[in-house]
Amino acid sequence: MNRIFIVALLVLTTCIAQREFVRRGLAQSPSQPSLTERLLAESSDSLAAQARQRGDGVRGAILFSTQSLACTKCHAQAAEDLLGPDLNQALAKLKDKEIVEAILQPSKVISKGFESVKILTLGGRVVTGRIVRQDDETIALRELSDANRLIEIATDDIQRLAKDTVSAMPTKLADQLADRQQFLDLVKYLMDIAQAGAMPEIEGTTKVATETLEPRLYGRVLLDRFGCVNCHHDDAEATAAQNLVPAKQAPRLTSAASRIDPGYLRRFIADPQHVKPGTSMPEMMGHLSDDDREAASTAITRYLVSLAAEPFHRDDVDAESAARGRELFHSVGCVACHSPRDDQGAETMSESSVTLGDLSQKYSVAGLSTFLEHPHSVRPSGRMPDMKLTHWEAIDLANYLAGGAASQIESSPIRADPSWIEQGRKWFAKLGCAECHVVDNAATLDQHRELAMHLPALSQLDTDRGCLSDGSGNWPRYDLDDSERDAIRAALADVGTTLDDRDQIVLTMKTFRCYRCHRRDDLGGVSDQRDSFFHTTNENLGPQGRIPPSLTGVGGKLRPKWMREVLVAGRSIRPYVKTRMPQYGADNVAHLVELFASVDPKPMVEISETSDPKETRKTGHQLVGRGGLNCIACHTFQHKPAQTMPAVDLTEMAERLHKEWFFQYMVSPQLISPGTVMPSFWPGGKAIRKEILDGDPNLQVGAIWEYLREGRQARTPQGLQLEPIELLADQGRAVMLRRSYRDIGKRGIGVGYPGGVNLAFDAEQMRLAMIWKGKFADPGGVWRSQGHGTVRPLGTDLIRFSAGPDLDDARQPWIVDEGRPPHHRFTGYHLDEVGRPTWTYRFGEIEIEDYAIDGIDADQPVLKRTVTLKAERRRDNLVFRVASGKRIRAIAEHSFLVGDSLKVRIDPQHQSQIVDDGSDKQLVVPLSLPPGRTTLEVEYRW
Amino acid sequence: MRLNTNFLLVLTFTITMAPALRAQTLGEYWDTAEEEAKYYKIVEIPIPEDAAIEAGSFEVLPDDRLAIGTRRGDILLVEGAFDQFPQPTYKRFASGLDEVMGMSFKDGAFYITQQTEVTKVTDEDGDGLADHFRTLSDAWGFRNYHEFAFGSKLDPEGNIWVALCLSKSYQSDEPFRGWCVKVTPDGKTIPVCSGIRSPGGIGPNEHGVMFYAESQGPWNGSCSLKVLQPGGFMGHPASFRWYDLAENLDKPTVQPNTRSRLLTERKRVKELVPYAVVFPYIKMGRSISGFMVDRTGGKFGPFENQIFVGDFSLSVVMRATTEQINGVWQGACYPFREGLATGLLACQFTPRGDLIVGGTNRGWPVRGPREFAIQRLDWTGIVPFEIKQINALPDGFRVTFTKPVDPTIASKNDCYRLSTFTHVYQQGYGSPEVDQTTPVVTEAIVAQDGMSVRLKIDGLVQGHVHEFDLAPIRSAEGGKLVHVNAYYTLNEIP
Repeated sequence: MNRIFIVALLVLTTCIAQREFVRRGLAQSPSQPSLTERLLAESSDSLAAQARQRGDGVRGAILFSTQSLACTKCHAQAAEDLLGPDLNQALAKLKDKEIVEAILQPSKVISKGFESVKILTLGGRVVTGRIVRQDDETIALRELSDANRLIEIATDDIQRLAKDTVSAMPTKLADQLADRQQFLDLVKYLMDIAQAGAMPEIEGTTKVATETLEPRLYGRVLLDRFGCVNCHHDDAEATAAQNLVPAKQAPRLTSAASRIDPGYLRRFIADPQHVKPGTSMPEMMGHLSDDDREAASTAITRYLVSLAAEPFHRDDVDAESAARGRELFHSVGCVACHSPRDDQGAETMSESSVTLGDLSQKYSVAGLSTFLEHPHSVRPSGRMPDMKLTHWEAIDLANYLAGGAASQIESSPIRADPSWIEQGRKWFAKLGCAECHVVDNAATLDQHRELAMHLPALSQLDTDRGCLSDGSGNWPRYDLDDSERDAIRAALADVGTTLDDRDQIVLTMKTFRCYRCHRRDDLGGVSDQRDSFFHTTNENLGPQGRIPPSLTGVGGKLRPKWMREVLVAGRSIRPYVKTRMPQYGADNVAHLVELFASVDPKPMVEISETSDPKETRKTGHQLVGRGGLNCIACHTFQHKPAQTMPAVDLTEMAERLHKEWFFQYMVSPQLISPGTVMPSFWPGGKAIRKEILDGDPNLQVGAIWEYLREGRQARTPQGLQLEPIELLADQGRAVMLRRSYRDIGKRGIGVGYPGGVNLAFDAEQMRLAMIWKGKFADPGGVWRSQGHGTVRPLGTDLIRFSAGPDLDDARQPWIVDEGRPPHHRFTGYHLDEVGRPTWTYRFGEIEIEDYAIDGIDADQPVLKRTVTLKAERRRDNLVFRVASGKRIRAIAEHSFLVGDSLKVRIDPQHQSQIVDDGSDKQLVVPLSLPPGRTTLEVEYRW
Repeated sequence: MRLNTNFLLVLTFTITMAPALRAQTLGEYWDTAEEEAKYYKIVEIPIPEDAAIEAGSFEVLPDDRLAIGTRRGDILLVEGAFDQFPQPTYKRFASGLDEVMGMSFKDGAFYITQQTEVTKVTDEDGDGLADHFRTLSDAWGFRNYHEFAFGSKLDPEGNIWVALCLSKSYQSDEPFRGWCVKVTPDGKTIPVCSGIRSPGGIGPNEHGVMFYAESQGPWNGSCSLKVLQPGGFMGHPASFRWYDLAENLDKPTVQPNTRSRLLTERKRVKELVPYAVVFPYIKMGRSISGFMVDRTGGKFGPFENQIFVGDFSLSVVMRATTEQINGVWQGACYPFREGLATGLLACQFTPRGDLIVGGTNRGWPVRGPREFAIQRLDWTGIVPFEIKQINALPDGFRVTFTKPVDPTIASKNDCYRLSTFTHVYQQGYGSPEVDQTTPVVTEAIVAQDGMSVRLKIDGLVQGHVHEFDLAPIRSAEGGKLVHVNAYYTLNEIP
């Protein structure tokens, strides 16, 4: 009974999983047949013929990579273990018609080896997916519902395994497309791939490498990790000099007792392996009695307390900050080396992680955040890298890590007592602490270093005794297992051998744990276990969007200067990868720049140089733009992300990459980055855009390269969409912009009123220059590039008025030109409580204030203008123009129709006239000003 | 990874030399950023995500807020920009202005220079938003977008000096284009001097004398800092046509000849003021911009009372020092810090003694990748080993360092590689470096304290830029110079 229920559940879950997998892009009403249904109604032969004729391979290639289709999630050249087959292989055998059917009816023919299965576990869990590996004990399955996830199920746990006759490929994939044309484009791209013929099989490289480090090299890593040379000096001087990674230094202890709880210090010194399992600090007191051990650890702690300038102070944990810190810890890359933690703070992968111990007992929040912000000031050897945390991020992380139950423990204050301090100093030297730790400065260190003087050199060691034996005695005891001991022995046997450049790279990458994130050749890569902690800001980028790049052949890819900036100066190019590339310090890792360059050859491609760089660049510009290969559909250009995804900035390519690598990558991206969402535009070496440069792939890539060499000075490609700028009145406040407007000089001032009317004043000719309704303005013309354009009024119903000042002498008016009238002087403006301006200016001795407000009258916006003129003495023969237009006629007393739509009403205190100046009609108010103030009111409706 | 050779592209070789000139590049980096970062770190002043802040001018308010005037016409007030780990809050005080390229604050009022005018801006109802904009002067013509106006901060008399760019940066189509005018507190506009081409910044030098930053172009072989000498002529004659409007000044009676030398023309055109500090093109910026004197009293490191000047194209900050010899201003420039995020337009020392820089990269080629940014240079407290300054002597130069030099090395004559050049003074755009000579150091006398070296030189050339390469010099501790070059413009030999 129960079993039937579970099987039913299994079927149901599969259906749900499949439906979820196909995310619906378009809402469909039930009455309308979907695109898939419509396409299925046509014959595959006719669809195939149309695709061949009218499909656009470039658009298809980009569609292929988009997230809504997610083709590359399951189909990738050279990738292993995915849900779907490598299309270069699979398509080669297919006819046009079969390609159409493969999309519309995926279950019709399922490629061999890609059938999916449903598994019911004993625990009642149901999983559907493709078996990618299988042996007697386990089955590795890639899940249908989450193609990123690879799960392993023990054979013993399987209750039932059923083959599925349905393809893992979603049935209604075409419904993710916008229209029929997109379907034809996609099919055309697949035809282009099919036509290119089967690609040579390439070794898969997406998976984590399975190789492990040779013992002789691993042993060297351990020799370094445990600081063996600090006591056993390296007598093979030539070899020592040849080791490019500077030896690891133990933490500087000068201010340790400020950062670290002295109580913890004491416990840790007394029994390091117990307090912090997995620490590289050896136990130094195995040969002492319990009493002596107690005395020594207390004395040393008091000595360390005496060195610290500030006493240790435990501070409160900020819960909000800690929550942010938790997020950081699990996303920026901390858990590449350290163990992730569950909700209770318990480590979930401590076995495979660099131990942290209980940080809540060890650190204060302030102490830990200081360390996290500048780890190299305490641990200069860079094994704990600088994660490029901001000050505030370091605090958040410290609140998370140093928080927890133990942080509530009251630490017993340990005071520095002179007699204890001296004893501590002696113990510190006698027990050999000073061999590894810097406490004060180099001078005292030398005095303290007693042991190294009479201990055997590395090459003289008996590798079965002392530190490498199981027993305890008058030597440091490390937490080593047999394989580690064997590796150390192998390294010691090999200590005189010169390491070649490849070994140096491996040694460096292992020492700094680069392999936790990066694969290089047969080593390293993100483990399946930790894969889920590598996040992206944009899923469209596929695995490349979240997994740090492979370093195989990186010396042939990146220019040394760029490599150095990444390694030493913290430069990064992939803002979408949430895991940060940490900083290890120039002294520790800068040698990799040269090593990579010397070991990794640049790809062997022959490149034809161009004879006309300018013309070539123009073609490159065309190719990058919408009419060409539309690179900007996915790639960022000059910090402006593309609409689909923010793939690496095109304008930084030439600065980063070797030309040879670029050529090779462009022609076959999947070869170099298996699983990349970057489509090939030259499948099989044949161009999809055949009409440009005769379809010659090398010339096309060369043109793109030549264009990209311009870097950030490269001309903006066609189709790059600039975000429109709209400047609008908001929150009941007027908006202004003082710039160039069409038909106004450079001294235009636009105002957008909250009530939906706008005007522009000309502060050179002192006139109301134009009015319009609706939205205010697009300032793009003056806010973009050098600012050589004009502000473009948005909205509607724009009415312009004639040039020349509104107020002038009736008898001797200024003869209007483009310039500035001689007797008018702008004196500024002031704003009312909602930001509406009153313009102020002078005409000779007359002071003018011109104030307009917006209003609503019978549901229509209206502009009410009040002009105040102030004269000291009587002034006659003035004229004020209130409007101008092709036609003006009186429609009522004091009311006029200007042009077709503008109604102007003048207050009854003033008479007005219509004057014909030849080209335009002007509506003017003759004025005689008595001493004092005169006010003129005008209303504009349109 | 194994590659199948079938797959490699084997294509024809058609190598030819590129005949066309490459588009103007932004040149090579100094490649000193990694070292510079040990002494001066770049601190990001975060900008709200939805804001586009293209700084054109800065001011510090009495309440320790930072005021930013922008190209887009805002005045923003920023709280917390000077904090060690800034998380500032921004408030818009005014908006809708026209390229705010100069700003001071005094007695509750902002005095700003925008393209159209000099304006006094106040908040009279106390609601935190500007409400009065009083035009102090708009006496100059303005009909082309490139007619930029750069205004100084208030001088001790309360005047604002405004450097007015030529029309389209080539002609003087409108009144006072290519002039400096002084706007007094009561709104009078006094013409100061003619001959400006395309200014990028304006302010006092370390002796309180008003200077401006000029860009390479016609009549300017390279960028330079020039003194705004009243009645003087700054080198570009297009602006001569407005002397009729300048009742206080006399028009030069002689026009400069093109394809000449500045030193030659100085003797013919008595108003021509020699360019005080020439910044060799690309080596020392490509469009020098806003500058400010370090009055921090040592909080910014060992360069107190020196001029710090940004560059728009190369996103770098440089230093300069000036001195007056025989009545003529001259001096040297020195590399300081590269790798800023955007094109720099303005800089401002903070009360804590850090240097705020900012700007935008739009419109012209700029090395800094970001559209706009506000950043801060903080001294780490570690003294870099640098050429602190160079002064002219009758028989050579005195080179002062920031730390004692190794006297043995520093007393060797061949540790000082000197070369000189000048530019063609011409109507055409810019100039190559010409008339090169190689002076010889005949004696290097290290001062007792090791802080300076007196160089006796055979072959000083008046009117030339003297280029120093001090790569072999070491500090007493054995350290290398962070920057090995400096450039002294020797208008006069004392």
